[in-house]
Amino acid sequence: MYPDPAVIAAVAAAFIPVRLDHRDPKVRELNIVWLPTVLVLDHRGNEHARHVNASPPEDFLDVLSLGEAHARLKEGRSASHARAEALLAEALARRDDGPFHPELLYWHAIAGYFRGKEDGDFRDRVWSDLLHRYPDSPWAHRVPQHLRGGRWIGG
Amino acid sequence: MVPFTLGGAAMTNDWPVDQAITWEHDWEVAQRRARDERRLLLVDVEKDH
Repeated sequence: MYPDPAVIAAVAAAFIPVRLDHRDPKVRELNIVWLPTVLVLDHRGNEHARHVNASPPEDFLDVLSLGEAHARLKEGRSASHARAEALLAEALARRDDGPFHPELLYWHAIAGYFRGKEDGDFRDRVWSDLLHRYPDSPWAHRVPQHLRGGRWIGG
Repeated sequence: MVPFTLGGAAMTNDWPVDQAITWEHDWEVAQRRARDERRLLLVDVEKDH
């Protein structure tokens, strides 16, 4: 995945790439259970994404987008919410479908909700799209009851 | 052509050497750079570097 030009560009745009041997003392703190593992962390060590094993470049680009979007969402600023929403929209626009699309849609709804000052219409529109396109996805199952209908536990 | 390995198989690619990821191998340096450059860390943990 790393030799792919699009991956190289995405890493260069937003990340400091660090490669650690599994025997590095720092790795013990990262709770790694399988190799290879890729993490997106901020400089304080907060984890925003974890991905195990190598993936096709197009999937790995989605992992990077999700990781950066989660980091931006947690910053809690208006500009950060807008950046997260844009990252997820760009990821969804890169291709028509992919294994991370349900997760991208789920979080795109939330990022758009915060970007738009609690824009529930946007959130529900995107979640409805998620339900329509990927009804069996675990991410669709997280969509609240009023959109899903039927039985729902939690929240 | 630049040789590399992926999944244990020898492969080649056809883009220039300078278009590659330059990895940090020192955690402290990487963390400091992430803070100073306001970037995230992409941490790749593998065997036997």
